[in-house]
Amino acid sequence: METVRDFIIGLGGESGEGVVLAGDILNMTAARMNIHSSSFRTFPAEARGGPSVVKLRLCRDHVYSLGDEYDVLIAFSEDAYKLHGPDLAAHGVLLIDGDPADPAQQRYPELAGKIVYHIPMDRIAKKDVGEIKTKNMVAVGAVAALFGFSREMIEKSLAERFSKRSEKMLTDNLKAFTAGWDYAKANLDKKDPYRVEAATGDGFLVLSGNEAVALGALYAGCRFFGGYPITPASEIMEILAAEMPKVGGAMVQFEDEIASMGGVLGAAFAGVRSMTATSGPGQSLMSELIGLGSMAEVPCVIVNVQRGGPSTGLPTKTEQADLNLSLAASHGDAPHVVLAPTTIRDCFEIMELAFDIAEKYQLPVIVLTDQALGFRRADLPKSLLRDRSGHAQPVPIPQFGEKFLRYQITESGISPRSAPGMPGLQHVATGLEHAEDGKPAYDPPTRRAQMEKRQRKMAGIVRDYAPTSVRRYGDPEPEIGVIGWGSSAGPIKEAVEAAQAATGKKIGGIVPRLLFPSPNDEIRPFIKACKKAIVIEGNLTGQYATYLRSQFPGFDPMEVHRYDGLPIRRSDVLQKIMEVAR
Amino acid sequence: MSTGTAAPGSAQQKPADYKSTRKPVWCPGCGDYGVLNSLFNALAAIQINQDNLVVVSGIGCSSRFPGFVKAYGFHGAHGRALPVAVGVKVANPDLDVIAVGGDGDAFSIGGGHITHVARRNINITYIVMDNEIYGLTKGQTSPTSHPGTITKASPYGALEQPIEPISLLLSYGATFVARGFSSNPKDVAQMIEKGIRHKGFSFIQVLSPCVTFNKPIGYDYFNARVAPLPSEHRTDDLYGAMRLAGDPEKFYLGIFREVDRPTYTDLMYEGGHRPRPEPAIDTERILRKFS
Repeated sequence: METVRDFIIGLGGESGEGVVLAGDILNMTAARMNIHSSSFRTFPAEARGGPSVVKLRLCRDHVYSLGDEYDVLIAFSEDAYKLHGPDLAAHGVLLIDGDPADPAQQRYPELAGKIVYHIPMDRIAKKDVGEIKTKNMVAVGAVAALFGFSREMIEKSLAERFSKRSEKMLTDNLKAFTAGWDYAKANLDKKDPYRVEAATGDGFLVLSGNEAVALGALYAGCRFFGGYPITPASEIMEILAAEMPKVGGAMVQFEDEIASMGGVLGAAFAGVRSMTATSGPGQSLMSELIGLGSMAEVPCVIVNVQRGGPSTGLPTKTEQADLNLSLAASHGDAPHVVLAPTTIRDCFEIMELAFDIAEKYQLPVIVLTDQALGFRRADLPKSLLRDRSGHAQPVPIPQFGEKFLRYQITESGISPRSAPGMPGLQHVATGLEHAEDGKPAYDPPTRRAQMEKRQRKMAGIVRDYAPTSVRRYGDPEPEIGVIGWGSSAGPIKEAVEAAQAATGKKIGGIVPRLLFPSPNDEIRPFIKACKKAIVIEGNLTGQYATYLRSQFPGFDPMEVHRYDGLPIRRSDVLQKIMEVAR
Repeated sequence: MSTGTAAPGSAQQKPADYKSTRKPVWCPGCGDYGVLNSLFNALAAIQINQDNLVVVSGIGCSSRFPGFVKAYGFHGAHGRALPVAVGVKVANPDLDVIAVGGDGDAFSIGGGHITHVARRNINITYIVMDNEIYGLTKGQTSPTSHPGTITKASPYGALEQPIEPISLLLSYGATFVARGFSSNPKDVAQMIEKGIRHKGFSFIQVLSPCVTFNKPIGYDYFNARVAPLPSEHRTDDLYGAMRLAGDPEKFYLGIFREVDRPTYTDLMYEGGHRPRPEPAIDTERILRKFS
């Protein structure tokens, strides 16, 4: 039997059983063993109860998506098996809580022929350890023994996590881990081909999209965060609450999202790189003030970790349905930018881009991630952080002619900007239409001149950022082309590569990270080459497809939509390509 | 909070030195003229440095204030003066931040924010010019209008009870709460000066009649009802302040409450200032946390 080193593990149980912690420990251990990974956790909207699941893909190379079905499913109960069993691959392996004397195969005929390992997780935790809460570590112990995770590294992780909390917690968890490990070694006869192997290196950084956004902001010089708790974005606020004071910055938890956006504008006006992070309901509330940021020309960054909408919708699940909201962003014609990171690494790097654009062009930049990116973890090189200084960026002393005019008409649309504290450069930032000096003015020539000045910034943004904004996969001028945005990039990349290999046809994918203004010169050659184009996105109505049609008259792609709260999978994309390629 | 921040060696600033080149756009007789002059006098009394002064407002007649003061200004969105002011102050606690607005901006659309600014005790001064009406939109009832007030939008008379701002601020835990009347500009100037010097959130309600859209609630109406706070009132007596604020017959003028409590930015930053030079990011610590 040939060993398989690239495989997907699923861990399923009830919320409260520590499924997420078990997944974290395995993921971090893999990273310390220099194994690449991609992982994802979902949990119910309620604070307690309901199913909880972690998907962990392990690979010898960096992976861009979570892949498809589980090769290995660890079910903390039969209920968890019932729920997640359908996602277990035909060749899959099941590890289940239970007694080998009462095999699950007797009750679940579909398990006939599958490799099933029974581990009495519950019994070991209760009887041998004396603490039911350690059930997850019993599972981790058995998994580590069966699939080759480093025992020393896991024990070290447990020490790091529990030693600060209580001596008993640490002892119990170590005991549970050992019991699970010993049980597997003594009782299970390994029949499956899956096994991880340590590689050389100094280990990986493992970040979720939310963590990458928070750290990306910190390293981009952001020193003010104003926010309001909302799933699935709160983690960004929580990380920055811990980190900001260490670098002289501030995190303010405001009374609502409107106030958060107001605070961000105030801090940005005062000369500090400022941001908020929210989800759809919060961005809806911020719309008016995003328009104020555009009109008053205040640099600011708004991260929307999208979830299922409208209204409260699916708070803990993913969707890409806030594109329309973000393209409009506000009432009126309000120049602003919309960016969408495609990978976890992008979530980090796009924050610097977002702040640079906001600062240079003095406008709001919306960054659209989603729960699928926000909660997914991936490995990143440690050099990603080591190579950056992360210093705060002060507002440069403005250059101007005879007289400082805050809203001076310029060719680029960019006017000189000052910040409070700079001697003699007082001005009033205002959401009213205004003359060059900031004084309210409603006469038609002034209105036209200021509207056009602000709008001119958009051309500069396309010039500066469009060429590097586009991710391309496979053939750059393909016969069959897949277009998407945001978190679907990974599945698109992997599906395009698989389809190319399977069919030998010219197949390509394109995923712009700059959504608004649209990098049309970059997209045009791709769609012109396509005999068949597919736009794939996580919403019901095809928001990006509709937008592309408005940018390219006559362009009429096929559309694939996913709006069930789950991330787009590699198989969703591959299936459509293969259908079209036939 | 400020105790005289004019640049060292700079000439003595006079009230007129705080005037911008823009002329106010208010109706003749508007109470806001008096409040603006009181602010100039207060700023000169403290010798505030115009380079470090930020005046923030929302939308409304009185929210035009920032344009008339020689200072940095942010004339933002309706009801959102306070969140913007919080952002400015947290980003740079060395700035003197004054928020201004009217009763609709403060207590209706922006009513949700005052609670939290008071709770934080952030060191900004908030001047609310209360005329019991929406003036900029040409006369509709505001949260301080009285039942029965007839406007085009309440042709049969307002049905709601007014709120009483001083009692609200007292119950929110504000550390400086005062009421003035625009016809007494010297008193208002002193109040604003004390408010600015106060370390913490200072709230000043100024009765400021609208002579155009709320004629019944004009100077005569207020003159018949204003009275100085009793001299025996102590500014740390919360319930005494509540009783006086709630008097149905009188508008007591003066400082209802003035107490000390640590400010938001004092608690947030060591010594109340953002650290200079800024501490560097400890990348190795972050790497340990996430690997």
